[in-house]
Amino acid sequence: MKYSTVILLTAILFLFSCEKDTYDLINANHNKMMILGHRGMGELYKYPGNTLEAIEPVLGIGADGSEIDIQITKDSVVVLFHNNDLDNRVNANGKIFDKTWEEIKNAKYIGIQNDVKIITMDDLFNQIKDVNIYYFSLDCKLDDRYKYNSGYRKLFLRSIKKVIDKYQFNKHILLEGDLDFLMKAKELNLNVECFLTLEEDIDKKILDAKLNQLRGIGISLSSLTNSAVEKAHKENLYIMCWSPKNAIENNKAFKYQVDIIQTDAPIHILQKTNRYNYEYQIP
Amino acid sequence: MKKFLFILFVLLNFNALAIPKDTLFERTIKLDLVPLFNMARGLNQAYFSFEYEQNNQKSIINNLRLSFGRMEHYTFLKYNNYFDNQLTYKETNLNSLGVQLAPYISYYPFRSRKYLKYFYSTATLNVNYYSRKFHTYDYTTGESTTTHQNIFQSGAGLGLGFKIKIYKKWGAELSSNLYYNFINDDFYKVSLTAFWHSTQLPVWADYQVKLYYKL
Repeated sequence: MKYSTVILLTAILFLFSCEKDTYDLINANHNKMMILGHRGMGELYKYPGNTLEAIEPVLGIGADGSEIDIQITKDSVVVLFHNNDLDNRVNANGKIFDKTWEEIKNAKYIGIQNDVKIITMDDLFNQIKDVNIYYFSLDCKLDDRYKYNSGYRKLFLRSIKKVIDKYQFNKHILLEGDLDFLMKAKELNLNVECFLTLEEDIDKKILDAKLNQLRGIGISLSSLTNSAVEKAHKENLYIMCWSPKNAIENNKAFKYQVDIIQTDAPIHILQKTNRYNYEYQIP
Repeated sequence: MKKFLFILFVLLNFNALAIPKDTLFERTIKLDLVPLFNMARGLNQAYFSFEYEQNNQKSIINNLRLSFGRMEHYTFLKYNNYFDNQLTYKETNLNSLGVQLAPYISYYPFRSRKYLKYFYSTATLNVNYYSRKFHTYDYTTGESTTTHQNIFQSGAGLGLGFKIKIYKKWGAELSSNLYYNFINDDFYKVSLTAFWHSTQLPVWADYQVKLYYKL
């Protein structure tokens, strides 16, 4: 009889070890957390990030939107792509800013999944059903050679404006960047939600964000501190945090009471917050 | 339907091989412990799963698994207008009751081997019925709606298992099955108690960790 008792006790212990953990949020965002997928479903998803195949599912399972990495081509088309060079990631070479859209539009990602193409931001918004209910955080990957060039920065922002004006959901676009970039966006009337990115000199940048009436600050989870969160929330600034890679890091971001999360593990955090759409079948 | 009844008939009456000499009991009831684990998963399931095994001293043993209870119970919140003064949201509550019936036969292919004799293979059917109730409340408009859905889902599959005796009339069993859904449905391609399912095909797998008792 003792064997069956041991089995029963083990089963009960197993059950309680799986108990869900919950946290109450107190932040600047109505005490709720906006949940964005990192480049879609996150780094571990079977399809490469920044593609329609990776972004559609994260919206389907209940996320509020997605972070996307964007670059512009020589003819000012905004495309979704992360790396500095096309080499080794897709079947094309060189830098995106040296190519026209026509030259790279057939480029496919190298990987297990076939036929996954680079897409433009316009294509993305056009192909997502009810796109204007979702939020997109734009991580602008400026070309290394021109990243401090004022003309290039304005060209980049004008290219973004052209697309988001078409879809008329500017308040659902979150723009990440340094102060100069965000101020240029304001000058060009992008009318989006601006987040000042920071990794160092946090106090000064919180002050900059406050003085320039930005929506908040963007910071990596590894650089985040309780004092930075407190200071930002005291100034009514949102904290956008990237990129927790798993459930443990999601919980860490939760404990920091962040307002917006860009996560590589969206399923965990959506289930934890009763926001996972079980009706959706991930392809 | 004829096809379904024919497969059921074949599975339940395929008893033509040699009689085994082993520790198997004539009649056994089993309790599956996996639902305890599933209670803590996202679907908040709370169901029971029992099995009855009838060994007529033939090589093929007849079994019947019955599962019933709450198969889904969760809330889905969707927030809107994050940057406005007033956050609005829609709340959907889903509660689903279900019954699952799985008649299967098991066969022990290695009766004379010292350790392998505890392993068996199975051929099984899986017939499931779910009654789902959605309640949606829109906090923007104050509108509330309730809808019902009745779902019939089924599959046939093969599996492997391992059975040991623990103490006198008590024992434990571990089994896993792979199923194929032969009645396609948009959403319910797979059973709600599946622990894995394919994203390309209507194929799923389940497993059981069972305690058994000789009657």
